[in-house]
Amino acid sequence: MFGQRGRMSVRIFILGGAFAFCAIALGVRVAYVQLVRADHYQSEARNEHFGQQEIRAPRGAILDRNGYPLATTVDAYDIWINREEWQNMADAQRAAAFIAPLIGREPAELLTAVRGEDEGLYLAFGGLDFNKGATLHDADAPGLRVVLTTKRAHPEGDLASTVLGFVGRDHVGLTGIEADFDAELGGTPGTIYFERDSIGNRIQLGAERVGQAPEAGGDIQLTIDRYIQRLIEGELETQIAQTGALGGTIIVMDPKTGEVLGMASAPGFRLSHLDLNGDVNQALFKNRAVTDVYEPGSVFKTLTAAMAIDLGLVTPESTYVDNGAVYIGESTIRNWDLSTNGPVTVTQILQRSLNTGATWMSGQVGADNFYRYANDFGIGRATGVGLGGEPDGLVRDNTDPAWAEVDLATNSFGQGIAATPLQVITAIASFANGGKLMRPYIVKQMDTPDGARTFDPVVVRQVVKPETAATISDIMNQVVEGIPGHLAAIRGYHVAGKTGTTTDATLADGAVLKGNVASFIGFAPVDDPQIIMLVKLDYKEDRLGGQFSAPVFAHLAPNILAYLGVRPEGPQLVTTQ
Amino acid sequence: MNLRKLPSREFDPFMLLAAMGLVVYGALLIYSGSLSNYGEPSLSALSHPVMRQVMFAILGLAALLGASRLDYRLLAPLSLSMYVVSLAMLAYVLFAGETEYGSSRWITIGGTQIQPSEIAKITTVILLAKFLADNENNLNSPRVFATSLAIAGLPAILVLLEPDLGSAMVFGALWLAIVVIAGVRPLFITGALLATAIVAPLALWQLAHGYQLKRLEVWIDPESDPTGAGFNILQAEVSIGSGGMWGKGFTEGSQTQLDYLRTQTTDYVFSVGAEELGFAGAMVLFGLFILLLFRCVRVAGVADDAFGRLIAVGIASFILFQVFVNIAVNIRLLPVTGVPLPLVSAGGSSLVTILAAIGILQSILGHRRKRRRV
Repeated sequence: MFGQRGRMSVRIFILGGAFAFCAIALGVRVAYVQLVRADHYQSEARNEHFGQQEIRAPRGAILDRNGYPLATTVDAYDIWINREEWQNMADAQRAAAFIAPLIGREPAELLTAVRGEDEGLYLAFGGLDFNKGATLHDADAPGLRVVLTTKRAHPEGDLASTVLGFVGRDHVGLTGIEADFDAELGGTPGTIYFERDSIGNRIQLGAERVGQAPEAGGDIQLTIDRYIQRLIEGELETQIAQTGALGGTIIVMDPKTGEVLGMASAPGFRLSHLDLNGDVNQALFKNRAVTDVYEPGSVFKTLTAAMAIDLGLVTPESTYVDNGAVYIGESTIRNWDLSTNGPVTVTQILQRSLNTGATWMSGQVGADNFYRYANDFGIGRATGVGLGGEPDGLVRDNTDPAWAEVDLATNSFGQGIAATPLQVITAIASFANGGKLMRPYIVKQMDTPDGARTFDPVVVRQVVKPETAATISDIMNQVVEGIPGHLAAIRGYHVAGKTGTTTDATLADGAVLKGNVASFIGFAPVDDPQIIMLVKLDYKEDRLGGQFSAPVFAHLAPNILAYLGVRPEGPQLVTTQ
Repeated sequence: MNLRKLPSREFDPFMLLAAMGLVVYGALLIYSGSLSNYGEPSLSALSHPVMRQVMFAILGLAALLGASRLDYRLLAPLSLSMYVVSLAMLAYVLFAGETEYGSSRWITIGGTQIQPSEIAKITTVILLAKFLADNENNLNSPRVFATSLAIAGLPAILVLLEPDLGSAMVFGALWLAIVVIAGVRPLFITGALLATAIVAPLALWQLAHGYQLKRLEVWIDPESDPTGAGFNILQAEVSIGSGGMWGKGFTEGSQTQLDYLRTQTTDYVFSVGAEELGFAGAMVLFGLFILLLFRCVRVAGVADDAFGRLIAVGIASFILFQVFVNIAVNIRLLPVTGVPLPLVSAGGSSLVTILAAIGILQSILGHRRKRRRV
């Protein structure tokens, strides 16, 4: 009996042990899941139950220097059509007849496009104007889905398209300022969390909370003046139309600050006719004033002269005897018109744009000084304007093993050397600014989360002495006004300027720059320069800068100066009466 | 008959309280779990899970009280016929049962779905108890052992064919508990267990329906199929874990109310409680089960005869086993196996059967001839 009960205890003990094991196993696991890992599972649950939706931050506007909006964001509608609901021909025809006119399409064409596939949504129109979209939004057409969105609007039309750039469908800047300052303009998207069920549907009247409020993008104010921009774009277009130019660049800058007042380049694109579907010529989106290099040509002689004068090697009156040719090794340097001029002064070398004279000056300066100065002028260096795609330019200096003596000669009159239009105008602008090289800039002010950030002019360096700058200004004034009939001369303002003409060129790195460039760079008024302007026109045939680009300056400068409130000088004013 | 002269029958109020506590607890969780799909229950909507559970609870309670009044010894002569009937029902569902979630487990009688496997559990317990009690002095016989194995094995195989692996394992568990307590030679038991350990995986491998292997796979790594087979496993775990110490509040569980939990009134009802009532609520549930099971085991300890003792052991063990397996599945200690949580999960057959079984335990307690205090 005792033994029987003893064995019983053992058996009960075994069962009890199993029982206890089960209880402990469950208890430990539950405690682990619910107490130790509770935070983890709570966040998992939250993540599941709350759908996340990004709230797009309002994109900042791009303003001109006076605060006029050039690019801004407005509400718009995307018009979608649910293909399945257009399977019934009668319904589809009725809907198409109603929708198509509002989105500027033909009903038949829309019908074909939508019914091309059986299902899915078809984007009939992206970014429809708010008013038209609102009409569709309130309508009850089969298959119509109207989604509120935003789109980039350009109150000034196509103005400054290559400068501004554009945004993609996802509202991310793709080119130009829109891309370069995307972070600032775009702001920080917020997130909204909404309760959703296990299928992911948003629960109506469910809990909703804004996780992070979107931080609106800041406005960016450019140094660009919309009036000046419109003038130069119009002029560029006219030149292309009238003289058969392939394209070109016009830059207007305040030489004392480095502010870019206007920057136009062609060929470009029209913001109002932007179509990114199909084959897109990406090159049209470039801001060529900043991204493309060219041979500055004779414009560069002003830099060469400045070096020689700054080093005290010559004065404007120093004479050089031009025999029509300079022999360097196996190369011969001749003048552009193959002329022989006899004794000429430094001023005359620039007036007549003599390659032989520039070669003579560079020989005096010497390669070391020449390339040091060129570098100081910012030739062959990105200006740091803050726009994307800016190259350094191409300069092969005497430290390069492939460099030869003749390179110094050709470089002295701006050949075999390449820079962007912005680099060239910046370098020349130093003469209008007491020899100080400014860093060009295009963004004047930027709203940041920490408040407005204003950009001040930055002096990069004193390249030449103030006296040298004054002397070169005077020589450049003589270039325009010392010979009657220069096409860049204008009434009321004294102009300093220099032309440049280049043909197909092979650069230091072997790259070939095709085409002919006629350019002019000038500033006015000489005594107290308010603007400096670079005009560069590209032609298929050989065109002289003095004939084609100088007149552009003459058209534009008086208007711009008057607009800026620069008083014309007396005598000329009288003679114009 | 003079009622006053009847000896007052011993009745375990704690066992009843624990059972009713679990039923109420379960009804509340079913209420919460069915809100999203059924809305508020009302008397007019008898198809509402809560109303159904309440009705079955009343039925079960009647069965409990009735069974407690009857002398459990009356079951002995009926045991074989009850067992045969339940086997017949199991065979019937295999051929004519209603298929739900890919397995046929139900038959409909009078508009009510009945799950014969629930009934078979209790009839198997009774027949096993009867058989082993009758052969109390012959337990070392291999024939007796083999017969006991067959008694449990037949319904297990029928249930396995439905297929319902979970219920089949319940038969194994109750058999094991009964033969251990009955005092069958440990050698036999060990042998049977070893044989199972060797054969089961092979059989599983050969016979397993694809879904069972998939269940194993997602049990180990639910993230391998988070939106498919692993969904329930993950969601149950997230529900329980996110409940934390005190839970999210009754009917406030986001997992439950937003339908992340599936079968939240049946197999995953524990997760509903753990989410909404937290660790504290889970511990209350554990406490109720522990109380109930201890009172059941106590019956085994004080039973008059081997028949009563083995019935008590069988009932206690299958309740324990189901509680363990169900909760273990909820908390990913075991792969998914469709076993209801006794007294708590929505389901009439299981509820009525277990309440009736508790009635039988009360009967064993109340119909002792030699009373002794334990």
